[in-house]
Amino acid sequence: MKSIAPAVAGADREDITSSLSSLSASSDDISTARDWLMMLKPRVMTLVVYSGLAGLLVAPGHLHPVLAIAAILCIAVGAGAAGAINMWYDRDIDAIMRRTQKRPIPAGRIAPDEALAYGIVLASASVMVLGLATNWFAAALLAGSILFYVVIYTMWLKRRTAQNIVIGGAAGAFPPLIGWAAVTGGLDVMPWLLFGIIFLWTPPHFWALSLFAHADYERAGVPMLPVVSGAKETRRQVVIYTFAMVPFTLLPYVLGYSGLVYLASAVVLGLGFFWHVWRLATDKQDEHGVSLTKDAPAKATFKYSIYYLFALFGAVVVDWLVL
Amino acid sequence: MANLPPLSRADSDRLARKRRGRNIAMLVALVVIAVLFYAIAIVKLTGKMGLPQ
Repeated sequence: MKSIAPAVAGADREDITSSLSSLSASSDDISTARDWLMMLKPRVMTLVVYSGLAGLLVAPGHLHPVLAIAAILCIAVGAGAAGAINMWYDRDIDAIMRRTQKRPIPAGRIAPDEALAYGIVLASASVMVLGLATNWFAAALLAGSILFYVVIYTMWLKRRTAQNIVIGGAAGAFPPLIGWAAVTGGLDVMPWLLFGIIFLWTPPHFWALSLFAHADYERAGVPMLPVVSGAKETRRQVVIYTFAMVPFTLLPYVLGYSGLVYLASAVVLGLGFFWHVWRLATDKQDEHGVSLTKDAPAKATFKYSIYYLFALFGAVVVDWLVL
Repeated sequence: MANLPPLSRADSDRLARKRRGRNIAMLVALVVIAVLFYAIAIVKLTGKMGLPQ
């Protein structure tokens, strides 16, 4: 496999883009089906499908199982399409960051133009099919989430402000709204609570990651919080957002939208989150806030945050089944 | 067209395997889309005709 990554440090966006085009034109390494699947960011898609399904299941009303499957498929493909367009736009910085330089575009297996066309076709198709299968309000929400992720987060915020993932995190919080709207044709308090949980969960989740991956972001010039404000401030922000998020997760019970199963799960999982964040905040560090434990608590917090959200949304569904 | 060096047998086989994999994936995707559209149409039609679902 040819890779341009080692050669790109210091090059500008135009140079990198032209290198990518010439590489992609070479005929000795072609894309595989797996490359095209990877363009859809399947790991992110898993969370999107899961939270969209939770919104769809707990919504009042009935949706035919075939239409429900179609709706979930459209949410997944729409999110994947947004990921593909994100990879097209970010191909220059993906080639610089170790974590992303093996992606199909920087590795030269998929041409940027093909990736963009792929993303646009899938995004349009997912919105159209969702509109035809369920309703056009849900389809509009899906279109809005794709545009938010591509335009607001990827093109506007990501390279400009350290608050990129705070505002951009809203894009990842759309699926429960879309799932709910697919069933009811409208929105209520509960889907907004699910939206809020993902929205408040995103900063501690991403900043825990960026604490141990900041060298990559720094090299690529992405103003992630640890790059701009340092590790100490990032840890402080993770604590602040965790204190905002955990009480917020209790609201579905407080407002009467879920029962004791959910409450117990939210409390136990929240205490687990606090414990991880406390370890992260008290991590052994030098005077600049650099971890002396190779960011072990940040890695543990990042991992826990993924399980946390899956378990919390699982509790929403289990509670709905019990009720 | 640029003159590219001839591919070795091993490279040629590797490319053929990749193409075959892509073709199969495309076939699966098309079948899924066709079945999905068919199923959506049937559900929508039975709903509109007031037939038991």
